[in-house]
Amino acid sequence: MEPLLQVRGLKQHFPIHSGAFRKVVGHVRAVDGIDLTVYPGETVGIVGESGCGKSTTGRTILRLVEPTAGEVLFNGKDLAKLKKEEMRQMRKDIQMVFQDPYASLNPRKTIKQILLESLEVHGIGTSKERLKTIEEIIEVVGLQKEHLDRHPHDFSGGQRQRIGIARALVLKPKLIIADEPVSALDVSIQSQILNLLKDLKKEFDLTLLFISHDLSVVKHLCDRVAVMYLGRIVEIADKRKLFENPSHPYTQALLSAVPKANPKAKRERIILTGDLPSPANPPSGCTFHPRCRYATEACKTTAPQLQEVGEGHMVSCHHYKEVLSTV
Amino acid sequence: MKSVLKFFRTGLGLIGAIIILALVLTAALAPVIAPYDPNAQNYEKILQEPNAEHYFGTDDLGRDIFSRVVYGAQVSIKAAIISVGIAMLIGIPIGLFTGYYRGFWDEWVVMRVIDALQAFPFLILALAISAVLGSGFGNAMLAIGIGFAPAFVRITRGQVLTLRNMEYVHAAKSVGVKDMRIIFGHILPNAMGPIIIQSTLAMATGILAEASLSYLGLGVQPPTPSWGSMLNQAQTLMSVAPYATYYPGLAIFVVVLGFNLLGDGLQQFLDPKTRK
Amino acid sequence: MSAILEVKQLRTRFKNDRGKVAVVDGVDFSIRQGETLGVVGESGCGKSVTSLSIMRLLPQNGSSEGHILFEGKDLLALSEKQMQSVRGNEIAMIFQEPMTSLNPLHTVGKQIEEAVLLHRSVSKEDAKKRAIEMLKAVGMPRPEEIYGEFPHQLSGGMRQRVMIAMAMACDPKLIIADEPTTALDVTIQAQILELMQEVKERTGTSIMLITHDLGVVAEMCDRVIVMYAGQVVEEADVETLFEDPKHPYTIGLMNSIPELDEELEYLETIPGSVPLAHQMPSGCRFAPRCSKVMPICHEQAPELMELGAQKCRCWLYAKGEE
Repeated sequence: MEPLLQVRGLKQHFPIHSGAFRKVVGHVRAVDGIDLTVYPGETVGIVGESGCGKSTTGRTILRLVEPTAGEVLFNGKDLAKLKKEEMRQMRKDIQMVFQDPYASLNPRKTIKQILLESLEVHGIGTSKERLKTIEEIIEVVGLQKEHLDRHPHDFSGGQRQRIGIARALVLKPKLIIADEPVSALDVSIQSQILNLLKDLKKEFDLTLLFISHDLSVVKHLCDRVAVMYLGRIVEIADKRKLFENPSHPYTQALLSAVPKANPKAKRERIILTGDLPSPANPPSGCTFHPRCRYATEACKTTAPQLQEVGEGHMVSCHHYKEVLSTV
Repeated sequence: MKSVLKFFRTGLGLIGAIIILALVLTAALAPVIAPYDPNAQNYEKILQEPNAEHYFGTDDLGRDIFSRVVYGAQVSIKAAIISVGIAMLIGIPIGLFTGYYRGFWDEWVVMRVIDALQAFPFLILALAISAVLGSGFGNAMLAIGIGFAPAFVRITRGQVLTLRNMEYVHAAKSVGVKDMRIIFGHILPNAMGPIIIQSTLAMATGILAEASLSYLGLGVQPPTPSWGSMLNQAQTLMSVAPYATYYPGLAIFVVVLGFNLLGDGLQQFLDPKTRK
Repeated sequence: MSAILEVKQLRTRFKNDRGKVAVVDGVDFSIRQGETLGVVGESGCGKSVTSLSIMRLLPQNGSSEGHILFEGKDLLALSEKQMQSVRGNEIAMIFQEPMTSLNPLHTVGKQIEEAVLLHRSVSKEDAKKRAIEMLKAVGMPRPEEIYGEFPHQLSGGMRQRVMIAMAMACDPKLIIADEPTTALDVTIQAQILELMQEVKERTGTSIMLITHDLGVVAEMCDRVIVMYAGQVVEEADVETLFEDPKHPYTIGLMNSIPELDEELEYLETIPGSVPLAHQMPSGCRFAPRCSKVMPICHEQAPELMELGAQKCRCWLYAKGEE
């Protein structure tokens, strides 16, 4: 099958300015060389902790920020090389669902205006057809036609996120990038939205790039999962393989850190020492080595490359065999 | 409707609004309110102290000061609206575009020019521009407007810098909305609150500036009554007819106070931080 | 074990445009010596307001009625001055966002020191010693250096450690932790939870842990109360709660979170959303969202009923009612 999205060597370095003449004194390597392939119809998760670059990856793919380097092939076309207007036309096919359902809807517009705008700017349909489209979509996401004339502040967080999803669906995109779409919601509402996303995946044959810090949520929704640490993917595999055979020490620690809702569960927790290093000044070699219990001299000097350890299971660790044997 | 009520509950804002309303009514109904033609000279009744016939007295040409103050309201309103209008027309687009696109023009050209302009006291700047353009009401307005523009560039740009990073702006962009529509459809409406507050405060300064320029002879030309030019003419008579300075001075004070109160009231009302 | 804190019929109301609304409405619970009590619920259930009521830190438009007995004395009856000697001394609080609850203009050492000086008659040097000791106790590397650093120089996890150090500085008998790990990443959360566990074992202090995360509850707590719409709907020891939850809301909540070690096609959901404080449904407050709703639920509000060691506010368990 032809991949829908192929990201190659994607980098996003933000300059750090200093002094009166705003001299560039360094770079925050938010995304530091990412390769990622998404096939039509699948849901790929990107997990990682704050500052790992997962959200920036999503935004860079969409060119909400211009990439520093790398290719973003969408249906074979490199988005990073498109002219502004070409990119604008292309946005029809890639949509985004944002994290904060309060900030992502313009407070001064009605839901109707918000949803119609997508269709208007791409000149899709007559005004009658547009209205019909959004009336259908609003019901697909579990709200009613009557809601269209209200403003965002009339809705609860969960309802707003439904509106955000409706906005992403209106253009019938080929790919949806969802950036922490449920992390601002209460658990009982979160499950409503997760179920909605599952339904929509089936109904519209959606391809989804799902960015989240919550491993349980990612496991629930995704087919394949990539784990990011300091701007790089450290492990990527089928969901089942990743959660059953985590082969990177960081993935292991991340999995073991999730509190289990079972007071009787045995806890063999790997506590990572120290904090996340600054992406402006990442450690040498393998960027995880200062917090890694498997680290050796080699890890301090040589950065490991992603290598295949099983079918579709890639890990970037010098000691993955040792790590795997402890699972 | 509820929010309008809330605004009036801010008290001082209401007083400000009443003063401004009174000013607008006075200007509009000047021919009805004023008992005399403001420019009619009457050499039999020069320099009369305030009395039942001439509430505020008469000046050295025998003109009724009350009527002139009433007609002066027209000039003040015009001054406030035109000068601030010019400033907004210049300042808001510059603020919107530099703030949205950033880059070299924003940082090294526009902002540095504005720094330079704002280094002058406002009145000196308006005076200098006015001196270059020549005297007259229109040129005075242009001078004041240009003098105000940097403040509007700054406040608009500041708003845009925040708003351009709002998620709903990203969302609009990711849907494929063109820049112009994002700037005027999404950013500007959300930036209007602080701009409106700034404009009421600027109107107060605008009235003062018009009065100052007129006082210096660079604004409204005689015989049209303006509070500033009235003060100018009255100051030569300070020793014989001090009352001639009282009333235009008082009018300026009250109206400037009114605009400032209105601005404060709007601020409390529009600022989400103080709004419950 | 005796109760260190007993909350009886706590009712906290806020005045706003629409009049007075009760955000906490008749809450009863107690915390025993050395116990960790979990308070679980979603946003708006009143769990944070309960803690602020105990600390008497409500905003001006809020007021509490009822009794909050701390070691027998009613906190609601104390004068503000008496309360000040309780706050930070006998009861300490850890907040969700350590950045906003630390003063950005003072070094972290000074802030801990201040807490000590406020409640203990010790010399400045001793207070400083205590501050450094506390920083060491919460696992800070280089405590002497950290003492002189400002909050913004520390990471989120480090700041939360400072908050804990500050809370522990006067050996409080009770710590109220309001979502102490919600703003942190999982690996850092694991560090902080371990630290809290360790502190508790070492000092024997009681903890009231407010959280929305059932995983955190399962790991940390001895007993749990579940709150919904300003009321306690269920109370049980932690194992009973997870093994045999009784209230339909508790059950719904547990089934609506995805778990790492189970695979489900769909999650159970609780339809609708939490009612607003000024438009509470009559009868049971959960009735409009409940899958097991009965006619009586809409008519009459259930009491918190005792079911053995467990308590539950639901008509399903009323004796003699069908």
